[in-house]
Amino acid sequence: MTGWILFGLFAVLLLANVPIAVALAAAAGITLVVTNGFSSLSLLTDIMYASTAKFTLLAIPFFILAGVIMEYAGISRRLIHFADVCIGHRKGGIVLVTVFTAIFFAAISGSGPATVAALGTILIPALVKNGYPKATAAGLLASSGSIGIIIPPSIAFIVFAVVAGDQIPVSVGRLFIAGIVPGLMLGLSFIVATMYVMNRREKAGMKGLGATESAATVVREKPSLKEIFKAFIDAFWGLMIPVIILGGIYGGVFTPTEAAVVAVFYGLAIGFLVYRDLKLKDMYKILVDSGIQTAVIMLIVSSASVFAYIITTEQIAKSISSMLLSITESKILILMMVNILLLVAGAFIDAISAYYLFLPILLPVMLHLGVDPTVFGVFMTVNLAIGLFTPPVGVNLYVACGLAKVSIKEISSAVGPFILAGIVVLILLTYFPIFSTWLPDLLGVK
Amino acid sequence: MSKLLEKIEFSILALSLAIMCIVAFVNVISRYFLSHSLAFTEEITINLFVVVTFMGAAVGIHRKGHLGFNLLFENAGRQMQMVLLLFIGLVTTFVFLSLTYYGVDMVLFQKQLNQMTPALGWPQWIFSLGLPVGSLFCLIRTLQVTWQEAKTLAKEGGAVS
Repeated sequence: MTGWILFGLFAVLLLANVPIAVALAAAAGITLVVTNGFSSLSLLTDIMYASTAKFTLLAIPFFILAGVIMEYAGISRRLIHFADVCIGHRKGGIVLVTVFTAIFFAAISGSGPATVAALGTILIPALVKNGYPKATAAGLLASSGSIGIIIPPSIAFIVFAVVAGDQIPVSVGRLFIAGIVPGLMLGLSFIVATMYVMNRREKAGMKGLGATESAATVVREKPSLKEIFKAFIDAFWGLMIPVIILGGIYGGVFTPTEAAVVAVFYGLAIGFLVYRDLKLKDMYKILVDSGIQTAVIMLIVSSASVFAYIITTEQIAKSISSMLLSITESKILILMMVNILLLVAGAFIDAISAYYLFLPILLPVMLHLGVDPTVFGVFMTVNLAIGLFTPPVGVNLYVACGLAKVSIKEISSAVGPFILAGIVVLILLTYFPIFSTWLPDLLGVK
Repeated sequence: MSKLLEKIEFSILALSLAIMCIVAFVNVISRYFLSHSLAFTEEITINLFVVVTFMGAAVGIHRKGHLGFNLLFENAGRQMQMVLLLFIGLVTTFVFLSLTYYGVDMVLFQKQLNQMTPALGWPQWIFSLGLPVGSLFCLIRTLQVTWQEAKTLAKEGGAVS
């Protein structure tokens, strides 16, 4: 009964365009009042405070800040330039540039929309200039940006580990390493999807919208070694960031939170001392921007925590998970059902809320079936990454639309092949755990 | 008035985040170069984290930065939009009013118990103020945004009919 009130209220509020964070808190609050009376509303403040003031989650503001600093310091621009000099001259090279820089930027920022925003301003116009239709360019950026939450460091993995940690200890370090191969697979699948779209357009005799030449005919001269070297030196300080972050975490030097803080100060040092693109007066804007981005995520975290608290204490999680297991005991079928459920949910809510809403219910089922929590973390996150660019509520879509100046309708149809490509990768990751466990086992990361 | 509010919001936000970074960085330095962990730093950073969350949330409301599902809203008629707008305002007010009220309650309770933070021994209630104060800002911003949007919607409606 309580479960119906809780989820029903949330659905109604969500559909009425109440912001997700507010809808979660309101549904939880009203459910508390209905079941335990008005005074139980004090739980709202207590849980929201306790769930925000968590040391592990501190990595979130620091990684966001590091990402914003990279942008202001001109680091992302130099990375794109380096990738462009290396592979931009080949046929379809700009697509590779987009996906590679997205993967690379993902290794700094850990957030999907941030990756789209940082790269889209430069890469969407570049793609369009190379003859790709605006909507396809925006679709490619929106989907590539989603790799941001799979390649470490990843805000999503941190939240997964925190939420799953209530039931079973999950190592953020192992999740981070486990995400590398799946992240690369996703990137590869997006390249294939773009090639497929462009090939079909070429066969149909269509050219890029508004471009004078089709994508295939724009071929630049091969760059000289000197040019490549110059671009490399210029981008070198930026290229070192993932080495510092990941090397630091796996070398056992830093915790993820510490690595994030170090990345912030490293970015500042490069911005002020090496590139000198950063001005002291930018700092205020950088801090305010990062603060807002942090708050948007953390308000969801704190209100979703109250929601998750009710799901757990009212035994809702238990009854739904046993219901799920009573339908079938087949691992293959249940994994399929879980993935479909998450794909649908991911189209309406963001990844962070999804962890709080579904982990208390799904994790016991996964553990019962003997699924490795790390593997579950990876495929659940890839699933929710697809949600980042699935209409109607894909954050990445909105960011990319804003940058490319196309409507949500146009991008929604262009993004189809990318969603399909993502689902193929998702199926592989769900049924072949080796893709997720191979690298961490090889490196001996527990 | 709105400008002044913004100035307060931005200053608290930027200052808190800056202190969090510096304190956390000093801890990293101290731990690896002086091999001395400053355990009390965690208390400062996590409590300021709450301040950043709720102050930033208020700016988010002002800038309409919070995620939501707006497909039905966008396709609704003007009258329906007005109803939804007021409904959203009401629900958001309920949430932040509760948080402000029970937040103040929490602060007063901690003050009464003379509760101190474990490592620093500072009064916990000063840190906890972040939640009710931030929520109060969220509440003010909610009322302001709802009022402004309703006014705009009403005006647009008048222009067409």
